[in-house]
Amino acid sequence: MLRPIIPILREKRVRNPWVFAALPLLTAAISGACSDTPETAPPGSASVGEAGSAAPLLLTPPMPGAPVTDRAREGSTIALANDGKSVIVADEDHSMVRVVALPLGPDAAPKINKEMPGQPTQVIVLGDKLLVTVRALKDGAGALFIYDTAGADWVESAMVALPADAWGVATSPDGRFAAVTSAWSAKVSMVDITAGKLAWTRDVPREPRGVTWSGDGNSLFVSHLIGSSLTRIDDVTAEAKVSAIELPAAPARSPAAEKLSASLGYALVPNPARDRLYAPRHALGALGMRSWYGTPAVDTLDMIDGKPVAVARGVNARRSFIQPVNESLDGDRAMSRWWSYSVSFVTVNEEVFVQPRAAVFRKSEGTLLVVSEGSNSVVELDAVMSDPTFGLVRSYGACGAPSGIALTADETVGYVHCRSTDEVLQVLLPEGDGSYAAPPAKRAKLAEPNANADYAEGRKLFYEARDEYVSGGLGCAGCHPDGRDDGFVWHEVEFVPKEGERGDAFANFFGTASLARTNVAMWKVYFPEVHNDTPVGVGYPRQTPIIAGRLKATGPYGWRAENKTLNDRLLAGFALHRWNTMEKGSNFPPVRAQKLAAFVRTGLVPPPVDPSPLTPEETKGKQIFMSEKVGCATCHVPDSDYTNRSIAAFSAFPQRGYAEEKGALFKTPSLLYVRGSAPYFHDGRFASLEELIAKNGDQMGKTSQLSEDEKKALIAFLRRL
Amino acid sequence: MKHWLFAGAGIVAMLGVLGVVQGQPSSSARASASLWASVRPPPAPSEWMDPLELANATIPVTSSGKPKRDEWKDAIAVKVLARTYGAKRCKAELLREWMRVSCPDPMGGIRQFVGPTKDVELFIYAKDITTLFQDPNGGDIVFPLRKGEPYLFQFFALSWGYGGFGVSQSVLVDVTWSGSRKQPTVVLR
Repeated sequence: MLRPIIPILREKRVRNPWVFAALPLLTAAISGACSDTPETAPPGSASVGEAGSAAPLLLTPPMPGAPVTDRAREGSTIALANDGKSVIVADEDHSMVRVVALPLGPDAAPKINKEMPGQPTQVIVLGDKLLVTVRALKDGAGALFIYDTAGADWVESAMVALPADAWGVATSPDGRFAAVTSAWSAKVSMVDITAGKLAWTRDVPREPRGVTWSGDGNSLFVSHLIGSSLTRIDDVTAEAKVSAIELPAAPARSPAAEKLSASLGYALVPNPARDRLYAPRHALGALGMRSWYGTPAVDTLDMIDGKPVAVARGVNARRSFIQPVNESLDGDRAMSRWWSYSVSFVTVNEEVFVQPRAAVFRKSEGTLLVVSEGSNSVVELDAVMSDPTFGLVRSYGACGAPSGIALTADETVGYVHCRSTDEVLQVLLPEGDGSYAAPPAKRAKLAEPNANADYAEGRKLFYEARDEYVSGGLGCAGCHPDGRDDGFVWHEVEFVPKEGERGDAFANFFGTASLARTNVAMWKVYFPEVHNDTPVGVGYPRQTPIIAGRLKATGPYGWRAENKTLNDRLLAGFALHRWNTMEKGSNFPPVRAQKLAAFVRTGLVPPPVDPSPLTPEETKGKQIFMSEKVGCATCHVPDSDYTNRSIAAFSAFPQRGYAEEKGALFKTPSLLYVRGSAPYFHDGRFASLEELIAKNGDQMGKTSQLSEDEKKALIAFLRRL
Repeated sequence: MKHWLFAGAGIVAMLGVLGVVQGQPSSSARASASLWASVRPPPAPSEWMDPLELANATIPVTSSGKPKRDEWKDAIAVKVLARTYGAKRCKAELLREWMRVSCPDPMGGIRQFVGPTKDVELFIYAKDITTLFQDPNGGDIVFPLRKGEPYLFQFFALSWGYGGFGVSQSVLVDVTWSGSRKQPTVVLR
């Protein structure tokens, strides 16, 4: 029997109210190494760190083909120590680096808990050296810490200041250099490990995360949390030229003639030959089971020629079926065939990952191990497939919100760091593709649960994609990674029961217009008493908002301030994507909302901000922002997180592919962290703050009267919020 | 029950997205089926020879015409990556740059999802459900191996569900030959 297909629409989505990012938007100039460039600076625009000039960048270039070790050179939240006798964990949530002795025994616990001056994000072991990236120090800068671990105690051999929100790290083939991504700052930096110095920094598109090197040590590849393209940096020893690489998301599962975006590109993993690059991520709008939000994908790049290995689905591809199957594929008869979906697109096993957080290549098996944050599991995929999600080899149960993985030298054991349950789990990795009986898992407890039980449970729920009441297939963290946003504009379709008919009004979100269109049509077929007021299949545009640091107020919440409290908003979010089928009167959803609220209010760490005093230009921008003549502060009240939490009329001009929203009232969004939340407005129509200020038609303050210098100053101030 | 209705409706919706309900051009496939009739092509010598590793096969870079049926007797069996039990029952043959993948189990259909359609042949031996379990059985896929041209095909088995029989996904045929690789990769799963 087939399982229910397509959109089994259930989900929780903390659809929080930051409507369209209006004028007052922000920025936080991060570290001294950052250049002052737009957040959407085109690839190729360069900024230089300490070096201060564009060339030469590395005085001692990496030596091609001289790897210091066969082990993974890409960072993770967990790494095997050089002697193989312990694992080292970057515990971001407790700002600690922990060391756990191996093998794991009963009551295993860290033997070292090293407090860090900020949140450690990734670790990588390089011989006797340990590299740790830290998001932000007290001065707002990110950092790469380099420790000498040869002795009994770690010795800090260098601390290299980097653009804020240092996150991913990868070492060069000769182990002498480390490339580091800075997520919030949207920069990539090169660190000379031996000298302990920053060599250069480059601007890249939003939210760079995973990074890896080409086999010849001359190029870098970078993944992003937002968007399907990768970034490539060539000639790292000289020009360090930035360019974009097109890598469409799940091309073989895209709706015909549609090019999909992607999110959750945390990881980027090469094969040992370094001619294949794997990008596990979420394909927004791809076809598949429960596909309202898209499907997981591992998009593969040929690292040599720089082209995708897979190509788009054929619009008119061929088929051959026996009768009467063949005739049933066409026309009205197809409507009633339970099996029809299976011939329409390639589906992936439902057990494949949700919210990929990390990955590692298993050379001995030719497989890719992907850490699945949303399903609390690790999956092993056939890396030879054009999209490895087509080849699920095995799935291993893990623990809460797994976020990193490290393999032993013989690749028979994986150690998984699980974030929401604060554990390290040992996973035994069998050989071949035969059946597998999982032995009892060994685990080490890294920390005790938070004393606030609601917070502790809410932390698990935030990442969990398969909670029946909350998630519906994609966890909160699926659209709000790190409490931020996926940069995506969804199609919200409202359904309203006709008078006297059953059911409540509710909305649903779809990744693409075609999915929205066809699902609305389907709804009308099966539930004619319910209608929707929006043009069929279009839906209102809703860009995912940042929520970290924006949930301090009691309320109201919601795009139109329709929810009095955060709990109310969360409950409304649970009902999204569920086709209004949630059990009425159940106590489970309110309890979950209470727990989630406890976590998301204080547990999501806001993006780093620059604590330094405003520059003269930023001060001028603040004066403009506060002036009655311009009027930004009238709605974006500084004392209440740059919002008045009230609704205001907004003449939305319809965007292509979405429904027109006449007379729409939107709650004024907070401008906190607006610098890093492009594109702007509820429909993402403006790619940058510059564009927003220039083209908002005086709907976001009276900005048309400003001179170019005044606009520039205003934007500079917004970047500091 | 409501869920199932949604699910069914979802299928319909998805089909709409995919253009299936609007009708896909299947005439060539039908023509192909009638042309080949239900007579199994002559067995290739490869059926009783150890297959050659595809990685070691010589694949012409020039384009030759699609082989005629009786030409396949000169094909060589090649070893591709077969990952599952069902996939291991299939065989692959190479004739010049042309590959034929044949799977012997009763098949309800084949679909091409990715790749050029020109010169691709999808062939199911059974004409309808009454001949599904008669010999010859299964289906063939014929396509050219050319650098930079990936393919994705899927065989479909007969299945039973609500409202009678239908098809369900069977062996996936994943063909890639990216620019930096000397040889193509063919995976059956």
